[in-house]
Amino acid sequence: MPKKRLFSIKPFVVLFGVFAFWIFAPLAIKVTVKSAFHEFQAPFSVGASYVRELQNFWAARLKSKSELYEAGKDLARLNATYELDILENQSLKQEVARLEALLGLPARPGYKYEIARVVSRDFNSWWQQIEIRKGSLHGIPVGAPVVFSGGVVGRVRTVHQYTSTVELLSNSHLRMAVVIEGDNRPMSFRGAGYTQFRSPTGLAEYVPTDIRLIDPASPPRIVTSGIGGVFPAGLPVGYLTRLKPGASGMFQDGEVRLDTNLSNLSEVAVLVRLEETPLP
Amino acid sequence: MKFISRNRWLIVTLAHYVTLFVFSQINFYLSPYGINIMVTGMLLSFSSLILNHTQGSLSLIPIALYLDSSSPLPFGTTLITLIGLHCVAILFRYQFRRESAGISIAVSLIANVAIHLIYTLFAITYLGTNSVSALHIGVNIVASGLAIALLNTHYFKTLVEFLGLFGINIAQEQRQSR
Amino acid sequence: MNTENTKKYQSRLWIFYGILALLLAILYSGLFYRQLIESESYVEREKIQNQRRILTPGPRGNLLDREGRVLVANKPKFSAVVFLSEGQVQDAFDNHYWSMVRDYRANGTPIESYSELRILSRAMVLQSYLKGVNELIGREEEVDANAITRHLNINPLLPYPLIHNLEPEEFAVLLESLPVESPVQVYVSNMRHYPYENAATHALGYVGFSPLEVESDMPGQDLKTFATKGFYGRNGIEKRFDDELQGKTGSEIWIVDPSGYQVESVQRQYPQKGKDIELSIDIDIQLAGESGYDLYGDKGALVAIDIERMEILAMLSRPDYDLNRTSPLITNEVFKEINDAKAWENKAIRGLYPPGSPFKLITAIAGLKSGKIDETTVFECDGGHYVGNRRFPCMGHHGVVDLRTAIEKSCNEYFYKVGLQTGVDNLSREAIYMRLNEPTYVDLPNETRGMLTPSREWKKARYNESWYPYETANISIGQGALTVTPLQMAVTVASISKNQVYSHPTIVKQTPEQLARRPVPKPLGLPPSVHQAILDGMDRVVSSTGTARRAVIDGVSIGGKTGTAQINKKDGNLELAWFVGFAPVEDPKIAVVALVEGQKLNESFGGGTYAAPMARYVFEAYFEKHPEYRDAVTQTTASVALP
Repeated sequence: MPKKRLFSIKPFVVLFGVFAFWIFAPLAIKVTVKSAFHEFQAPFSVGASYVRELQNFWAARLKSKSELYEAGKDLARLNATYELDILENQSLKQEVARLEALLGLPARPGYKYEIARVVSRDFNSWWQQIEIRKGSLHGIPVGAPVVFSGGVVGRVRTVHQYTSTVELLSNSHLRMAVVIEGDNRPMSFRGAGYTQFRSPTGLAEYVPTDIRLIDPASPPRIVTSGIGGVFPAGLPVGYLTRLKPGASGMFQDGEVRLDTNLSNLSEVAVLVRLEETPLP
Repeated sequence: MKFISRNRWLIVTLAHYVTLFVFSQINFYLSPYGINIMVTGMLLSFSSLILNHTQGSLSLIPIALYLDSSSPLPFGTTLITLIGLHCVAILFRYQFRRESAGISIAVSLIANVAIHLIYTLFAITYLGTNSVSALHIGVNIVASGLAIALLNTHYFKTLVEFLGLFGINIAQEQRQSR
Repeated sequence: MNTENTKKYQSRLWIFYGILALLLAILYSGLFYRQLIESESYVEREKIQNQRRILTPGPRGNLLDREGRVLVANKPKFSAVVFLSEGQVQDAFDNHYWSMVRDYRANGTPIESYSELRILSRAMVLQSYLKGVNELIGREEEVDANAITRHLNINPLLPYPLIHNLEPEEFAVLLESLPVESPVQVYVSNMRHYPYENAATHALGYVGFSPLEVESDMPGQDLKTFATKGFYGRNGIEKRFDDELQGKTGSEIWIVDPSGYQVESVQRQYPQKGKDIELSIDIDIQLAGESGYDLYGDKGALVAIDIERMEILAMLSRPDYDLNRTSPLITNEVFKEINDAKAWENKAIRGLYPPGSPFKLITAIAGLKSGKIDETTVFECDGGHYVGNRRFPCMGHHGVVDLRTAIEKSCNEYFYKVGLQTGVDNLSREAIYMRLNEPTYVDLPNETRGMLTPSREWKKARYNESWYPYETANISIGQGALTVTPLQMAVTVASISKNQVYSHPTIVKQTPEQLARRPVPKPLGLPPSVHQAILDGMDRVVSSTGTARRAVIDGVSIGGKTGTAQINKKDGNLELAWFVGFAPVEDPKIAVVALVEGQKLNESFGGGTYAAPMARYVFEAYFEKHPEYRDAVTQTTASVALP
């Protein structure tokens, strides 16, 4: 009989122990355990990503020569366009630098691009994050902005040795200073999850009251402001699709439609700030 | 063999990890469709219904910590959730025929929904209400439920048989314990 | 015996049981009453104890010019604040306080006041938050321990401001750098913003802080309420249209813990912006007037009116001040500066001045209407006129002059004679008919009621004295006790230009319905040919040979009248330069009045030199915007000249 009673108490003893660990364990232990578990399974995720790449490689190998030829032609065309854009970009950069020097504006921070493959996508009902195949060994810092061809992806939340976790734009914990393209008044952007099931969304706050959504077919585009110190200016964030009066009565709040490709990323670029311009 | 029998939780943990790993790969391909399958309830159900309390707890702790290691919620959230639900399952498991496939599916599904709900509460507390969409959660619960309904019996059977390879006869132990 | 005793006592026991039952019944019925019948009132009491209401003012409406350009708007005021109700702030307060207590005890230092120690520990915690913010945006701000205590005593539910007035760049840096869950956040409130700074300072007015007005339909009337301050109009349009401009107050009801800190928001009603008001002011014309005034005057006023709509196009008063310096509040330093400069007063509606020569137009009208003169009547000017044994001078020897020439040359002697022939009764009757003895009833606050049209009756009542002819002569040329405001003169010149008597100018752009409801102007009562004679005279004033030649602009016929009035001071006279005018003469659209106060005693200060060129700026701006009103001749020439 006493044995039976002891048996029934045991689950609570374990539960109590777990609670005690959760509440009283020093932060250092928690961080160490967390990091150890992450690092332990990282090689498996990284290995899986390599397998996926191999799979893509073989899928490409199975394509017919004519398909590959057509794809090569398209790429060559795209490359030619990009070459032109690069040239134009260079001259614009020089012009911008000249004007900035003329106006005595402070130098803008320089970044280097660290391209990284996506190892895993953790897009559940509560948060959206990706694991990328570059970590502290590759010089990825915590808080670095992450971009892809469609604009901003998010920010690096944690950095491990070989991998880093990137918090996506749609996370409500990610906030940045943005502007409406062509306007210079800073607004706040926060992720709002997957409120529309498949489409990641965000919330724009402090939208000036004179901003109107006139044509639903071409909503105003939201880009990074560049004055917040983390994200460089002009990176696309999303489109302002709905407006409602804000809590202060001074501004509007807006719903932001994010790029659906955010759920389908396989490669991103981490913007690593150059030495002389530290993160704020 | 005695060592393995006494530390069977290691085998179960490994099996749980492999399952989670496989589903993380599946979720990678499902992410563009906004679907995320979570089968943690099934793993919990196995540990709680098939193993004894200690072994079950030991098998779940590494899994919970692994899940916690990549979660933005405070470290230990999953640990508390899984151990809490494990305790509840242990307390009630003598009330029904736990070796029945139907019961194990039901427990897996209920545990999975409970995990979703607990995670939602934690997410609301720590990540804010902005990030929580009832529709999205509902769709994921249904998708995960379907996956569990399809796989639960096979998972239990395979894992029991795999344990059998190491001389661990779960069915016999359950009969004796009754 | 035992049984008997038991029986004996049992009856007594029953009594005891009865009393006990009664007591229990009272107790339970009391409980029943409290729990079930009075439960609602207890719930209500609990609600009052556990809930607090926070009121947020709705932003005021904007003031727009007649073309929709923003003259006054709300500017967001971004601040870095700390939410004191956050659990981690509370924990930090407590932890720091106890650690200080421990340190004191460990060091053997006596603690003189625990409450002061708590205040100090709070300040140190907030300073640590502020340090983080300072590092992010490169500032060196410090917290004020007394301000924190005041804030906690008055508004514990409202965030405590660490840094006011963040620059947009600082706002952006904090947005990206402060974690979303941090108790330190960016907070937005609003302040009035005046993009045109000094333009129309007095007409627009400024605002001051006020307690929030709580509408009766707002939820939580019975709750303890905390409110951020609202604004109310203290002057100008901000004051006159305060009700319309006020936004609707927003409210939020919070459940609070026993210490009074926020736990959960249970109800929210968003504040709403007040109504925008479209003014009749045209900022282009206003700015033109301001530029003119910058060049030619320091003190005085200028008013421009759209004659047909009786809408004020521009109104300025000098000295003025940058309205942005009054927002969000007027500091003592700014108040003193404005006060010392005597810049509070809107001279356009509160300044009382002798009208000087422009009043000669009314003298002429009185003479014409009384039949004492007609448009062909001539008088000889030999440089002065005796009334009794007192000589009233003229500025020149004009010879034989008719009405047109008298207006053109501003011949005093002509108007002395007209005035004396017409008589003070007719003169004052005409001035009163033209409403010079009453306010214009413009929709601006604090318009003076001190204007004066002297008459025989007025003098008798005021001084118990008879009226003397020399006083009539004085009034004939706009001197003496006669006083008017520049706005009155603008309405008067508009009236003369149209041969009608206007009133009630407005500074709000009128809708067609409002225009239809406007009071119908009285007829001035001059036959067209006679009226034309006055217009001709005024036209000649603004010509290459007239006194207001500095107001001439190409392609527009302007009618006007300059004037120089004197104010008697203790040590001499202070001169005032007037110009009143309208254009085009053929079909008047705009009336302009400029008044410049002389700065030095006994200094000559001519209306033609100082006031007329200011008006030219206004006419130029107006006709640049309305080329269709330019003279037909010019338009034809232009169209012929063009290929």
